[in-house]
Amino acid sequence: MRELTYLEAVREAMSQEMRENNDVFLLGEDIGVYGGAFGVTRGMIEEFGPERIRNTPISESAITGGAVGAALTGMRPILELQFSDFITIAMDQLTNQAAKLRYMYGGKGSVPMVLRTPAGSGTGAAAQHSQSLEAWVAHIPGLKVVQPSTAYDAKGLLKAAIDDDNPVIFYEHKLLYKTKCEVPEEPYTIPIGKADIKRSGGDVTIVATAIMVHRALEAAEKLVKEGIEVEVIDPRTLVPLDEETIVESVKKTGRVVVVHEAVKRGGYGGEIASMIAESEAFDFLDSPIKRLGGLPVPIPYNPKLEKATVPQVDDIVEAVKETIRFK
Amino acid sequence: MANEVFMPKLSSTMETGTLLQWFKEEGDSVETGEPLFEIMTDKINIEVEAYDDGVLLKKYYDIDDEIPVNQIIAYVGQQDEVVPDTSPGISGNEINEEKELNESAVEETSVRIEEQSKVEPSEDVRATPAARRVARSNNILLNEISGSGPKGRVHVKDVNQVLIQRNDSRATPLAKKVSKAHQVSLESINGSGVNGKVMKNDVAKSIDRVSRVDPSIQTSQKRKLSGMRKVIADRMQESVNTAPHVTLTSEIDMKKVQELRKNLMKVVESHTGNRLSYTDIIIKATGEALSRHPAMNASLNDDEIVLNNSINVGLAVSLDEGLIVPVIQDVPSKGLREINDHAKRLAKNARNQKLQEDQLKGATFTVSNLGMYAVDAFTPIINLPQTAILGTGRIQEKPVVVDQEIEVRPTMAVSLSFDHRAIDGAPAAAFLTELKQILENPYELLA
Amino acid sequence: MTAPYDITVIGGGPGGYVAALHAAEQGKRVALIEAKYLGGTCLNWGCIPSKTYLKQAEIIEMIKKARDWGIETGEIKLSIDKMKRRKDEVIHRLRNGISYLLKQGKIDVFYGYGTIEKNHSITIKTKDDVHTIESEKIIVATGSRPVVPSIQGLEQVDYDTSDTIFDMKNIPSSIAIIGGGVIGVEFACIFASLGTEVTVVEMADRIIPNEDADASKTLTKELENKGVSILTGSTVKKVTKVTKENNYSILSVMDGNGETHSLEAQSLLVSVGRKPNTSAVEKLELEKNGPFIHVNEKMETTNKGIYAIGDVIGGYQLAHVASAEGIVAANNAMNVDDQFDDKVIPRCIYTLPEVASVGMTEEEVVNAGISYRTERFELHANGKALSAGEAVGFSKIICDETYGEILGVTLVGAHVTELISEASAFMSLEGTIEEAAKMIHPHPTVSEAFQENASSLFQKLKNQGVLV
Repeated sequence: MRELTYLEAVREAMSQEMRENNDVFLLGEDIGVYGGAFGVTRGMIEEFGPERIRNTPISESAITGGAVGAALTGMRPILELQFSDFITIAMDQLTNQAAKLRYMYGGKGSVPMVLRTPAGSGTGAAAQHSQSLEAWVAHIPGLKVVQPSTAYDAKGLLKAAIDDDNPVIFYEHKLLYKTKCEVPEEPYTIPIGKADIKRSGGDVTIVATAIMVHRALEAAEKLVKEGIEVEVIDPRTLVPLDEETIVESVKKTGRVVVVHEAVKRGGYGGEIASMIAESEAFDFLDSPIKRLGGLPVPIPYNPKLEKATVPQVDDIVEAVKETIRFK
Repeated sequence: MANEVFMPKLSSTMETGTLLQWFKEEGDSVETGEPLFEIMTDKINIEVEAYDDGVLLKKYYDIDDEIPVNQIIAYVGQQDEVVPDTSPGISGNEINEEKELNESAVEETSVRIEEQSKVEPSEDVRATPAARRVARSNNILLNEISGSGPKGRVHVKDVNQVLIQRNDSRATPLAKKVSKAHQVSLESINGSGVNGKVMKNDVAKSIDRVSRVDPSIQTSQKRKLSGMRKVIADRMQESVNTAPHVTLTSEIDMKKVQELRKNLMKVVESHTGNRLSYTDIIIKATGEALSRHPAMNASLNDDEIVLNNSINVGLAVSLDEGLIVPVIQDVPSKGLREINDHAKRLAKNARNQKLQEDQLKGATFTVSNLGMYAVDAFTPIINLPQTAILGTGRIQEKPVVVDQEIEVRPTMAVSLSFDHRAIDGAPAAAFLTELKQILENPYELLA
Repeated sequence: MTAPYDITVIGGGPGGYVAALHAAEQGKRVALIEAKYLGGTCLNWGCIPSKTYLKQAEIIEMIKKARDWGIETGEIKLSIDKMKRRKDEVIHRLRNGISYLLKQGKIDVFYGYGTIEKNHSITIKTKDDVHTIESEKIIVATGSRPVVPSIQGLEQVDYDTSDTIFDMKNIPSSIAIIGGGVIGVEFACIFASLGTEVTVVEMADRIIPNEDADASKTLTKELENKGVSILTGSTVKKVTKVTKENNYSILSVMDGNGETHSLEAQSLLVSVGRKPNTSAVEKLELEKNGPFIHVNEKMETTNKGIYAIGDVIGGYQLAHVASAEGIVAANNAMNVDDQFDDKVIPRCIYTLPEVASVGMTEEEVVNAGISYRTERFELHANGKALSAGEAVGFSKIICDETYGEILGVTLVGAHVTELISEASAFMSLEGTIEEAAKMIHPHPTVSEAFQENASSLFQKLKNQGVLV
């Protein structure tokens, strides 16, 4: 099968959907001729024209509000925020409008929109352009939150997000844009709320999201040399969370490490850890649940410090060994 | 009234503890809860705190002493109180013997012992949820289990270990004997008796499965494992079971040894009447290498590594009845002529069954040479309590690259098995390298 | 037609009633059909009556022995009527006990002959009535009766079997016992104590041929000391009636050398074996094992749902075996998987001295080709036996050479039928000679003989280094 980068997969999912469905359109800052901050929409304006690839003023609040309005009238907008850090400016529209309207209208109106936005550190973009704030939106009832880690997952999940009648926050990771894998040409969907076991193993479960899926897999490769078999689970969507897959895995291994890039304090890992502790997997835990997350500091500009702020492969290896020490 | 400080029993399996360090000196004042000393048990290191306020009056033990559980280690009391000069033994025992100690002391002691045993009632045991689940479903009390985790936390592994032991006891005496004789683990056998008790037939079935004897194979004779065969069987089994064997191999260019042997052949033969053998030279070289690597010339007795001063090399000799290992004493002090003389005499005596008891004793290292057969290399088994053995294969003409040219050279593969409990890989490798160097430049043996 | 039952047991002997009670305890609707008396052969014509007579025999011997010890009594007077009455009292008491238990278990007891029809319904024929009951499962426990061999002239004389001998009117002056098996030797003891002149004729080369040869030897000697004549390797060829007032018979006995002797006796007891009562299953085409009903290890016959236990299936023909088989059959009839384990079955002969054994005899061990060790410990070295004046006998343990597995134990002596269960326990729990040697026994007891025996055997094995 041909390989696509994550970035191309996202673009292909949107283009294929737009060819099929005239209601789908894009809006965002510099997404037209410039092709967006990371070039995701490059070339799309040539195919779909400025009506459907709409450049907007620099106002995340306005972009989001516009998308909510369009969605309410029956369109299926996809909006792009240049950096997920600026979702803070769109928060009122997201929290108080997009997330609530379907409920407040008693189901008579819905907000079928997708908010795409790149997150994460590692590009030297410093404190205001490197955060991972997915826990913020995961906290709001009414929003679905997707965090794909591979090109294949990105294409299938984005189609599912566009098809969904609810607002979906679609997190892309900057460092993943250039990663490649096999992606089918034809459109397909991956159901929202279904985790993926990226690697099977019997000793420890790692629940990892986004870029951390790759680091966990790399850690697993190292650990297998020491005879430790790691199972890597990528939830792929944070809301709704595929609890069953995680619980079953932990029941099998009895040990779990939850790892994400976002700051550990108040991060979504806490939610996953609590869910496990509350589930029937509790009786199978043979070691304390371990969480790995970013340090509680703004992401530094210095590349060495930037790296030190978020979990790296060796940190995961260490954490796994700690949970398994008493095996 | 001085209070005893004794070796606490920290787990159901603990019998002794090793004193690691004292935090207080005699005469120091101590407060309840202050760490007094640190001990190491078979499971963990732990600091033991004082139960009483006062002065550390007397310490009876030093660092590294292994002390039985409940043995009195020290006394804490008021300045100037008189305490025995040596440890009065097990706490609680001496009370009956020592009349001076009054009733209240007895009470006090028993109260303290009670507190001690209260340390781990079931609810307060540190255990993971999984360990609790497994313990619950097998009706095991958690406080019967000593945890291997931090602060004695019980993990599934610990529970399983208890289960295995328990299963072990759930076999009839006969079943145990049969399983022991056949080296079958009882854990894996499902018992057909009451509550899964393993009966003889269960073991027999399991043995059947493992070693199903093909009825079409005709056996010519059966011989009972007895006498020398039995001794060899037991010793080999023990060695394989207890010593983690690591075998290093190396290929040695024997060209110069060949030359040396040829040159010395006449000299030696005229003196001893025997032909100088490769084995003689290998023994000499081994002795030399051992003298430079004393760590390889060690014995492992229980928990002590003994570095032997004398270098006595055992030489494996094959007899019809089995293997016997006569010993050449103090190899470095002997020349090739002497070694040749000794080795031949020992081998001859061995074949005539005329070896003296002391000719079989005292080896610190063993050489086993199978070079007379078409054997390239093999993994010898260590002769306990020795910690290493050298196995040598045949000398073969092989193409070897020497100074960028391919040359035909006589080469010999050697294998060094060592007991990893006593010796690590690097020193063993260094020894083997040394031996290779000596054999490749054997004239230094004459220096 | 009566309401259908879960399980119907035909035969109320120690196999049948135990099976019925076990099923009833598990809440099954159970019927029991008995042709004559509850308790079967064991209680009415076997174990129990013989033991009452044997106890009396023991007392008579005791009194005689006491004379030598300085305890004088007057002349012993025997009342056969009173002795019989006591026997009947014991039987009644036990029979009532069974009856009570069956009632407690709400088991319907039918008195009559039960026959299984082709459609598995059961016809019960009583004196004046025939009716049919239906049952899911049936357990056949119809037992056995004495075999009467075809001997020329036997039908023309009055003879007894174990079924009739207990109700003898007078003590005969002499008796010939054909068959030196368990029943034969027990009666030899009883009659010898009553002053009867006893002759035992046994076909095999020794009495109690199924027991260890050592036991036969000791028992032969002891019986002969009591005045019993024992003719082994001998067959009765012909029986002739003598026209005397006391019903005397003359037996022509051919000995091992082919020579014929004649033997005159007032009474004649035939005890050569027992044959199964199979009329209850005549209409079914069950697979047989010789004359006996064939069953699998679940006690099930070749007809599904019909089980058979006890003497009717042959094998050991012992009450305790029938009971154990009964439990197994009842369990399987209730769909609880169970199998008969015949590994440890003790055998007891209540002669004076008693013979008790469990496991294999030395002969069997030899035939099986097992490498074994054996040793005897004589009771005359046992303090308790000596002080009780019962020093005849021994303990003999046979164990395998490798593990010291106890393969068989034979005990001869007073009270050894009570002691054999210790050996059974060791075998059942798979204790080896080592454990037996090390277990502490109370002193002074006869049971010490077993330990002394084990201990000496174990020491020898250990010294020779053969044990694992």
